[in-house]
Amino acid sequence: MKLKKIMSAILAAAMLTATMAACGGDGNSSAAPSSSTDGNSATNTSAPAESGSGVSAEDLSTQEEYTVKIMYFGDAKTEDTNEVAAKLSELTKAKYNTVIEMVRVGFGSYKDQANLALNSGEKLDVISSFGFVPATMMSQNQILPLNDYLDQYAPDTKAAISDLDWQCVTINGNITGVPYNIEKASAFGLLMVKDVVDAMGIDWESIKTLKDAEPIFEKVKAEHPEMYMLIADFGDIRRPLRIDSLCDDSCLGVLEDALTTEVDPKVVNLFETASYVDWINTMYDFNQKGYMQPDAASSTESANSLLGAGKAFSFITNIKPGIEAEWVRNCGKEVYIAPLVEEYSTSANIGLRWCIANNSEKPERAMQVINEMYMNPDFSNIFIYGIEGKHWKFVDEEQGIVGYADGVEAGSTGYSNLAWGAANEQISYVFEGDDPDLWKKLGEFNANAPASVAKGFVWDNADVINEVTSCTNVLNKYVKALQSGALNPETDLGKFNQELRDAGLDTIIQDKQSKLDAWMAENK
Amino acid sequence: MAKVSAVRPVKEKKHFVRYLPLYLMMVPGIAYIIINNYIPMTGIVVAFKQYNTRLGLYNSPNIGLKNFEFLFRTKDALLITRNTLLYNLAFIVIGTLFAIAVAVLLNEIKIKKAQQVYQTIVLVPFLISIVIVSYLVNAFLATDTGFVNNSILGAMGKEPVSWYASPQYWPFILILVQVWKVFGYNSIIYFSVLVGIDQGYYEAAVIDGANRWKQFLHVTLPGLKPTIITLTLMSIGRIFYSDFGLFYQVPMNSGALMDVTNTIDTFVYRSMMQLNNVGMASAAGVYQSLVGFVLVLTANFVVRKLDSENALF
Repeated sequence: MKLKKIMSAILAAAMLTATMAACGGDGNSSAAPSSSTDGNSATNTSAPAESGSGVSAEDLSTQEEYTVKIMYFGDAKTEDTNEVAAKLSELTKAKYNTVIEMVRVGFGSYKDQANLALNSGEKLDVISSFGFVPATMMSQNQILPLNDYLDQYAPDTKAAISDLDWQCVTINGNITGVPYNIEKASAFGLLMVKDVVDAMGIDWESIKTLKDAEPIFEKVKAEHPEMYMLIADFGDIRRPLRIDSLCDDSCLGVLEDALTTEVDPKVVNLFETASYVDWINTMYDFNQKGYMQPDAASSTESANSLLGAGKAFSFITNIKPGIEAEWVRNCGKEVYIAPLVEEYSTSANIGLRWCIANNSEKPERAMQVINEMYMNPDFSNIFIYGIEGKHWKFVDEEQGIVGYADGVEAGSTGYSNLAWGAANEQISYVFEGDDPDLWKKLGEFNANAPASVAKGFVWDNADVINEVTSCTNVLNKYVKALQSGALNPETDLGKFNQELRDAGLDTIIQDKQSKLDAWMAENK
Repeated sequence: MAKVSAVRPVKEKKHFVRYLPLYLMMVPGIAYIIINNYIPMTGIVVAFKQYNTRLGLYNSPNIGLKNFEFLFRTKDALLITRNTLLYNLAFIVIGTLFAIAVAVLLNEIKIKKAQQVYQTIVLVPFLISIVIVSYLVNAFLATDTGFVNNSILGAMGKEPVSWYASPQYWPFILILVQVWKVFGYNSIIYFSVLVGIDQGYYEAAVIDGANRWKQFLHVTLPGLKPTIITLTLMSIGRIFYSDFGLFYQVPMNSGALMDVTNTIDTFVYRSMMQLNNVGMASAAGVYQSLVGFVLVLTANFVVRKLDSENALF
């Protein structure tokens, strides 16, 4: 009997050490990059002085060393990412005595992995909100409100972003994150592969609405039966509609026309509005005629790969300055884009943001790094393009144009560059093929887009979270299939709306309406 | 064993030393079960909390049964329970019949070499990863390139079916896939029992004038009975669990199919990963564990009443 007890005690002890060792391992790896960069810090102290923005005179390089772990999306090899992080650390080490650790996760699994990291309590400081609903992140305390940190640790960033934009990322008085300085307006268009259009002499500019594409699809389909006429991106199809979702990605209750001039805009069920019904009828019609990519709703292929492989003719894309060049880079094909919805802006356009994880041990240090990401061109360039000579080289140093390094291309690079994936692409170099004035044009695009009456209003779903969860389950069931034309709107749209109502949609709409009314009364 | 040690405590030590190698062999398995199954059990508390990342697992505020209340107020609770139970019932009944049939057929083959070849062949589906199975199924069912639409329905002059948007077919497809995947494994178990049945019984049956069917009913089936009961009992214990891969990967996570493919396991995954509703996901998990536990006890109790020798405990 005694022996058995001893055995079990030993067993328990062994297990405990095993679990502890596992936890300890994590800690070590996060500290590892610091030692490799220590040597460089002394020689590089002058570098950050170029950042130019008036950081307070106080010397922050003497603060205690801390590692800031950044998590964001995009394909990259671990070794390359570590190298880039080490390079970034040179800058932050000299300025803040902060070491950067970076983790990049592919688009497909980013949300899941980031969510696990946030929920499991693993060390994490700076995280991109890509794929998340920031209001939910805040209400579940996955992230910290930045209010207190911004003024003290990132005053330049605070000043660089407009008050209206800050309002769009503020929920119940809590600033959820620093918004990306990317396109801040929505516009949609129909992208078509250029070589096919040219070869067949198609008048693509005649397309003003999605319906206009029908005769073109018919012609191209006859000539190219091997191509899908219209495709989805990982099963998603963008809605070419001018709605204001009121900062709710699920669109449970929207303003049908974002640019309505009514003083008391009405929140309605998107899935019953005339413009939505009209659109999905068109999609169903396309699907019946064989223009849609089959099984689009459950597709696990990206639009990039389908277009690149020559299997697709068109795709509904968002539009912004430089979008054509971006597609060329992504799929290797030149494209034409016929605008379907002109640019407009809503609160939801200030969507993507950099947040500070609740697990951060020193949020103020994370804030300093975000400030660097937003304000320091050197930092931003390395962050976006990687290491000079290894990942990129200058094509035209004068104009600040870069391209892939020798022997590297889009498919083989160990560190894929996504200018829009950084905090502030507009302070970075322009990539080869893009307009040298791209950032200027983007700034104009943002400034000129007409704004929704409700811009600045951010709906908080906390009061109806259960209804939202139920409705989301219903959306999961129907939305992709309906929007890819796989379901017949005549029979299924009614069922869909009934299920939404059963799940509490009306309560959600009421909640939204009353909060919007209150906001309008206060702000307009 | 307990009895032996109580009567002769002196021999306890000798006994332990003698079986030490066996105990040592048990250690990795026990360690695995404790790490994988017992330690995470403390997480059950989350089901009774409003999970808050800042406060952590154990310090989040208690909200009693609120998570359960909400879970059962949605239509999903009924749906996922129904799907999980009915699919598993179908798997148990059809799977067992099919496995026994194959085992009996295997046993009829008299050429040793051929028997081994067939044994290997029927086992192959069991060894294929479910993700690969899902693409095999996709090769059959894809709307444009699939075998069924092109080579079967096309040849018959019928309209192609958009399989991944047509929920009415999926109960059959899933049962077919599951039975195809696991029948080999169960057949081998039944077959090994069949091999052990004394040929004398069959000879005696033949002398008594029994035909093949009678031999099966009165010799083979009684010989298989303990194995059938044990395997079925174990399946019933897991009747509230579903093969996540089968219900998530094989239908390609298609939303239109959710009414017939959503089971407790996929529901927990979706609430957790997509809706980030940690509390509700845990509530569903606890519900599954409790009902599963009760079912094992009940099934064992029934068997013990009917045939005490074959009960698990």
